[in-house]
Order: sequence, then structure tokens, then C-alpha cells
Amino acid sequence: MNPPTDIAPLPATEELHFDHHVPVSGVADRVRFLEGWLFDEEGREAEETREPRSSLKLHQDWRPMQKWALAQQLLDPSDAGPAEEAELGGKLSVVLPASQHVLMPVVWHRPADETTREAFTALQRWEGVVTECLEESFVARLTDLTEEGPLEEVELALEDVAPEDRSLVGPGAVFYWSIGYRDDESGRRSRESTLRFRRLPVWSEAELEAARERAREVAKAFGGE
Amino acid sequence: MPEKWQRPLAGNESAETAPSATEIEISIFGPGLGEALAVHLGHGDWMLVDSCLDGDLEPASLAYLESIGVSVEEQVKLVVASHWHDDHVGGLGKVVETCAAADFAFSGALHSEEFLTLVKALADRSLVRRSGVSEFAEVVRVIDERRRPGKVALESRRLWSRGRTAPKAFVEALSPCDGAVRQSQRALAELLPKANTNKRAVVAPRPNHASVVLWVAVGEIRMLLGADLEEAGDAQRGWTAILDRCDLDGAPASVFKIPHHGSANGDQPRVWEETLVDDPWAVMTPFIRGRHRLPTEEDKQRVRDRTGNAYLTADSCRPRRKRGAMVEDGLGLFDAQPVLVDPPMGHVRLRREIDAPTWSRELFGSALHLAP
Repeated sequence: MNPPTDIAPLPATEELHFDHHVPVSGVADRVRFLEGWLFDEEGREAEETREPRSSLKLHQDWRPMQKWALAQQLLDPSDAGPAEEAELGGKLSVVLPASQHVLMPVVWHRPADETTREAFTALQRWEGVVTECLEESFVARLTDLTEEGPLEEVELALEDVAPEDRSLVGPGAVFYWSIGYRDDESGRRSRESTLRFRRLPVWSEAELEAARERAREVAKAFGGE
Repeated sequence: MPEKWQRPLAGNESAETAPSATEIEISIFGPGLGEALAVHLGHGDWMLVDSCLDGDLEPASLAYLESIGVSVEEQVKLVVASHWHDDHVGGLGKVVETCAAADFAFSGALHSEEFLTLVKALADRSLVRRSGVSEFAEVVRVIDERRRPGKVALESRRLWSRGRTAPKAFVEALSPCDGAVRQSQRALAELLPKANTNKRAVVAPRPNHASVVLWVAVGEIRMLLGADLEEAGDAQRGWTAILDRCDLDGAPASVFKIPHHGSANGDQPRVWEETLVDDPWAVMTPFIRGRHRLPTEEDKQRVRDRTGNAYLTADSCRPRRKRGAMVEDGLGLFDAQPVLVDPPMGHVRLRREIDAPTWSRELFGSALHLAP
């Protein structure tokens, strides 16, 4: 894979610390993993999530080429140090070398008090769950994340889903729908409506065994006679 | 913000009174996607069946009982979850927790390690904020803390009775039968997450042949509460199993909660012929999801043909929640219009003195009579 050529000098890198082990099946999967776990639908780090977290923070305008570069870093043990399958006490640690590669992705620890200008401003956000798939569209139940209110429902066209997300559309898939505006670097403002499907992690056998154990614990109370 | 929602009884003082000890009541609540029942069994004893949320996101049946002065903590004796579809369990956790004196009964199809594993695995609301599974997880938590086992509802199993104080009363489950339980538990096992597969929310499978149909007796009054049970077309499940196998006590029922939102596949003509009085009081709730609309016009006509006392808690018109101009413009980018899952809540209330010849009915909110 040839490196892209249009990436400007980028800030120094830091470490990635993942709280769990993630199977790597290819570049695309790794990039999806990063998008799905570190960001909310607007590209910000998902503060509310209770999912396993990383200490990494990424720039919201992370560009495809930069994703590509990071994926390459993560997938190449000779470049990145500990390999992608390394699992150290439940943590996967991948060190990105700071000076070895001109295509260093944008990866840094953002100081807690630093505020960054958001290019996209959401006016309305929903969490959606796909309830039914039709030939060219899908039906979803919506929970308003902007202002609490009754459940809503919508039918959305599959063509409004990004091509790389379409394989995720199925009953039970969770997504975020944001409507707002985007300010570009020249100050122009445009309306924007985005759908982003969550790339949820895989179930681990340990999680399922814990659920089975909890089920056994409550079984007697729930239905004992 | 949507316009301020008002509970159907708000400001209607004459409606805000609890029935007397000898007055029997059945209240059926139904927005567009949801169903809940409250039944006064006499002597201040109440039963709640299923749950749905009102416009204040409170369980409709609880809010109603509180509005008419019922002490829900003490007077609700039985809470029944007929099945676990989203449209029947909204707020059920709060109902079970609040009704501290009530027994909780649930379908025998859910009495399995598979279902509890599913509930425990998917209990975390970080996956989705509201779902039938997370609602049931809350129920399981309450039952576990209370240390009073739930009651498993199965064919011909009595769930509650009052024998010493007249009028005698009982509530009996007519379903699910063994065949439906086995089929449902196999379907539940299929939903269990498997290791190394991606997490997803769970969408409950349909059809449902394992929901809990109830036969309610108070003195000589009988009610048949059909839940979402469908006709399976064989003698082992569905309505045919009930009709062939259950020994229905006493007089035919004068009230029928029509099953499965009046759908054709919930209809079994023998039910009308063998278990109900002529011209029974028949009430159904709508089910509106995506392009699915129940009851259809054909369904309504079929019910009209069978009784002049047919009621629907809400019609299928679904309003939108209005938002600011920029958001409304943004919706146009996808040519998509979210609609409220639930139109305004409708409430059909039937009351009858124990020795009165018939019922009186009141309609609140969006409830309507299906005139012949």
C-alpha cells in the first residue's frame, strides 16, 4: 500500500491504551474500531459512553488518509512496537513512533482545559435503533438526545447511509442521527444531516459467562415457586 | 417542545373518582404503540396488565390509578407482563417497583435461563437507552431485591384469587401452553449473543404465541383479556389450544380485550362464539410501526360486524414533534419526517356495579367508538 502524499506535518504522537482486546481483521476494521469507540456521532470523544475506553484523543477532523496512516501503524508490528494482538493484562498497548514516519497521524493527548473549535454544531441529535429493514429503506425507533421527549420513529433511505456503514444496517443496529450546521475554514456555513452507525464491540466469552452467572443467581427469585 | 400534554382525565372531576368496593372496572390505555390495562376486582383490589408510557413518560396505568386516589403501593395485588414486546413493557420496571404489595406474573416462555441471560447481558442501557430488554432487566432487579418470587403464568394456572370476601374473584392464565413455551424458548435461545459477534440491540421476534391470555372472574362477571396472542392454526398453540383445552369457568365473558391489536391473525371466530356474550364490549389498542398499521380498515370492519360495542383507544394518525426552523430544514436533507410513535393517549373505561345488568363506558383522550 503506497502512502498518501498530501498529509501535512502533524503533531507528535503519544501512546494508545485500549482497555480491551480487539481482533484485527484488516485496515478497515481497525479504522472502524477507532471511529466507533473513540467518538460520538459528531467526532467528539464520547464522554458518556460506558464502553471500554482508550486514553487516546483524536482530532475530530481526522482525515481518511490519516486514518489510513494510523491503521498502517497499528497493523505493522515492525513499525509500531507491540503487535495488534498483544494483550497485556487486559490492555492492548500500541506505541506509535514519533519520528520514524512522515505520515504520522494526528494523535495527541488534549489537555483537559483546552477547548477546540468544533466545525460541526449539532442542533438536534437522536439515538436510533433499527427495527425493520425494507428493500431500499429501514425503519428505526428514535430517542431524542437533545431534549427528552416521547419516542419517535422514522423511515430512512439506505442511500442516506454512508457506503461503509451499510453493512451494519440490520435489526437492532444502533446509530446516531445529527442535524446541524458545519462551518468550514473559510467561515461558510452549511446545513448538515449525518447518520453514523455504531460499531459495537464483539461479545467476549467472559461477558457472556458473567451474564449466565447473573442469570442463575436471579433465576430462583424471578420464577421460583 | 411539543404542546403541553394533558392526561385524559385532567380537569374532569367527575371522572377522577375511584370505583366503589362493589363496582368493577376495566380501563384500557393505548397510544399508537403500547398497551396497558387496569382492572378493579372489587374491594379495592386492582390488577395491572402490561405497561405503556403516557405523554409525561410515566406508566399510564399507574398515573391513572394515582389520579383517582388509589393507593397503588397497597391496593394493586397483581401485575402481569403478558409478554416482552416493547409495546407492552414501557415503564413496567417502575410499575413493579411501585406496586410493592403486588405479585408479579409473567409468561412461562420467559421462565428460562436463556431469557434471564439475555436480560442480564443486555441490561446495560449504554447499548440503547430504552428497550424491552432493559425494561425487563429493571423488573428482574426489583423482584430479586424484593425476594418474593414471580409467578409463572401457564395454561390453566390461577394467578390470584379472593375467596373469603364476596364477590369471589380470581384471575387465571389461559396461556401459554407447553407447545408455545417450547417454541418461544427456542426463539429466545436464538437471540442469545454469541461470543465474537458484534453487539446489537435485541428486537423481539414476532409472531408471539406465548403471551398470557387472562380469564378474569368477579362474582358472575367474566372478562377475557387477549394480550397479543395470535391464532397459530394448530391445536398446540394460540387460540385454538385455549378453546380446545381450557375449561372456562361459568358465564361467558362480557368484556373482551381484543388480541393483537385486532389483527386478522389474532382473530379466531370460535372465541366470539364460544367464550363471549352476544354483543360483547370489545376494546382494542392500535399498533403503528413503520408501514404497519393495526387494526386495518378490514380489521375494524370485522370487529364491527361482531359487536356494536367495539372501541379503539387511538386511531392511527401520528403527529410530529415540531422543532426549530433549522432542524426542520435539516430534516429535508434526508427527506425524512420522524413521527411520534405514540399519538395522544386514549383510554376506554368500563364500569359496572357487581349486580348491574351491563357496563357503562367512558372514553378519554383519543379513544373512539367503532360505530357499526
